[in-house]
Amino acid sequence: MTCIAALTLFSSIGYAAPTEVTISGQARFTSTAPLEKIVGTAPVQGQFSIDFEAPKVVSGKFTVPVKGMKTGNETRDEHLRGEEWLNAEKCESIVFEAKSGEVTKFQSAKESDKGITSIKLLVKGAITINCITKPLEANVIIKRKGNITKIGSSSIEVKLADFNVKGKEGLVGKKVGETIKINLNLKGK
Amino acid sequence: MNRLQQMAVGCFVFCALVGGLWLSKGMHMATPQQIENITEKTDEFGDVVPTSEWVANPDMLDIGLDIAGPIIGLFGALGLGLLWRGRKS
Repeated sequence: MTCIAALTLFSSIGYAAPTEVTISGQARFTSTAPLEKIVGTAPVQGQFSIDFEAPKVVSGKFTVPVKGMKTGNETRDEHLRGEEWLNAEKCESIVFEAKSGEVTKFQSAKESDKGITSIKLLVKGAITINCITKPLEANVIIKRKGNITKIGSSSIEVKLADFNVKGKEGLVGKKVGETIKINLNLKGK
Repeated sequence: MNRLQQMAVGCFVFCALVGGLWLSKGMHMATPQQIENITEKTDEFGDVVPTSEWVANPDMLDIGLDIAGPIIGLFGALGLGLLWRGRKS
């Protein structure tokens, strides 16, 4: 009996159940090319799981519908969805699956004056763009206050060639950057 | 200078104006039909968070090369044609 009680106590201290968070917000992507800088936004939805008391493992899935991507010009948005670019007909969404996380800085709510849990981590996972999946690492910061959680990221860089996104011949590298920078701003409960 | 040549000069001036407008508006490849309206708010975490929203571009003269290019091409060609015919007459 004592043993069971001790085990229960131990498990509640050391292995608190991960919290499931449903999150949504916006991804902002920037393409910088010699001829033009393009800034766009896309809605993001996702769920992830993390233990806010002892963050060791993070897992989750984030989805960006290609049809929701906007760059401020309808013709360009249409091209973006086309076969030569992100192929929205065949590959409806860009998906990032987080598989693990390496905590680089952790501050619990108890240690913070404002009661904010703050976790900086290097999330490792796989991203699927244009139906091609490649590994991706992203530096993110997760904050939680009460039951509100938010995720922000430093620039995540995605190389278009890795996902066979070629565009019209000659455009990538001149009018569209070879690498796209993505920043996330998500919030949820 | 005959009337056709005067019209040709008018076409070239118009081309230069459209080109100048395109240059002055930032030389966009595509016309920015919508622009990002970025508002900054302090959230419950005490962080300043920018929120962007796409709104219709109020500047009707903010044209990209997709509009400026064909206009310049058309009026440039018209100007050359008028100049050629003007020289013949």
